[in-house]
Amino acid sequence: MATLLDLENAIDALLNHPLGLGRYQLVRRVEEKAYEAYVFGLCLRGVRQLGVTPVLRGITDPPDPFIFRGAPGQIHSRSRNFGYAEFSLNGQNFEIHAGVEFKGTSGMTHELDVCIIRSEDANQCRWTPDDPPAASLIAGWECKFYAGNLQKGLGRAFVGLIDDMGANVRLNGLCSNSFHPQLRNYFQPRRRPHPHFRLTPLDPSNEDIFVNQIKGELKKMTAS
Amino acid sequence: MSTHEYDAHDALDLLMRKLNERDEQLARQIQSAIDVGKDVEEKERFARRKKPRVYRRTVRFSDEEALDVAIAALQACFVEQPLFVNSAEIDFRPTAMGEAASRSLSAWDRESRTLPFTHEGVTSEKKLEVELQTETQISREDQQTLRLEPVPDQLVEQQKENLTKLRLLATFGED
Repeated sequence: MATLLDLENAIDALLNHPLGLGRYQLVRRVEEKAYEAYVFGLCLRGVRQLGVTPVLRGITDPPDPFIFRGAPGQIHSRSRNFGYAEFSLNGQNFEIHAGVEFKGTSGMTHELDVCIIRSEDANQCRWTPDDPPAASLIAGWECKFYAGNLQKGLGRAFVGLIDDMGANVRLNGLCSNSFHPQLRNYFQPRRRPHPHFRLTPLDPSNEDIFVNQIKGELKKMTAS
Repeated sequence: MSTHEYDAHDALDLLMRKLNERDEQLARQIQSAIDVGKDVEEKERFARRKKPRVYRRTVRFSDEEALDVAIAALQACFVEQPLFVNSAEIDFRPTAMGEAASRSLSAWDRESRTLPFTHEGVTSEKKLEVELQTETQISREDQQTLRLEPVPDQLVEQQKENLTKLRLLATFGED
């Protein structure tokens, strides 16, 4: 018969493990960014599965280390060597970014946690510092790590954001390790963001859906 | 016959007490996820209507459901977080290391519209870091960046086993 002592020992084993509370307290402040890095990696995986090797770059120097923005920021920087990835598919060039702000069609700026943008526009905005225009955005994802309850407001806000990004956006979605049944229903109508719930390495089939969407859309838009 | 000498309420109480002792912030976060409750469909029957009226009602979680919520949150922190970093490390590894953006622009081949390709760095481990001291932040951080450090798979497997054991001890379905 299981005793309370057994339960207490099981809780202690979890909390005291090298990947338990000690490590979590060290990395907690970047837990959302770790999730963005994971989704960024899935984008790289999609590109690679199309037979293309993405090239990592930094804004001011080679990307060693590859630095993710700690807060929403501009695509250009004089002081920080933020990383991004570049790839070319069927003669068209793209970049993958994290935490970059765009200028919406209304003029309001919006941050996209992970996005794919046309290289020419990105280069232009680094060369002549500016926010990338909405028309340069190909794909954008909101990424939310939750060790708790996913907020409904996130879905509403992201729908509004995508609405302000114009008609060139081919792929967008809300990615989370968590799940929300009402948000799933909210995203059902056509033109709403894709709900990528339970997008986590613990569920490889959800990873495949995400990666295949990227592959499919990139193939379709670059087909000659 | 019961296989536990405690019930779900005792288990939840012990888990939340231990979490509160060790990390109040995480305990608060999990408590608030539990306190949100869940939506259920309620049916209201009327004598003159054939079909009952169905409406949404938010109710509190049972102690067993609350335990599930808490354990899912612990899984997110102690298993999924390390896996995100490991997955990113694996997906970044087979990429090439290019030069800085300013230099790549000058090498840009506008005629052929293809990127200058490099095989440099393909298959090597890439160091991933997150900025802590942001560009606009006035307050000073001790560290500029924090490395996203991959962890051995063996440790992740151990934590998965620890979670499985905890789940088993917190499941009362057949009692």
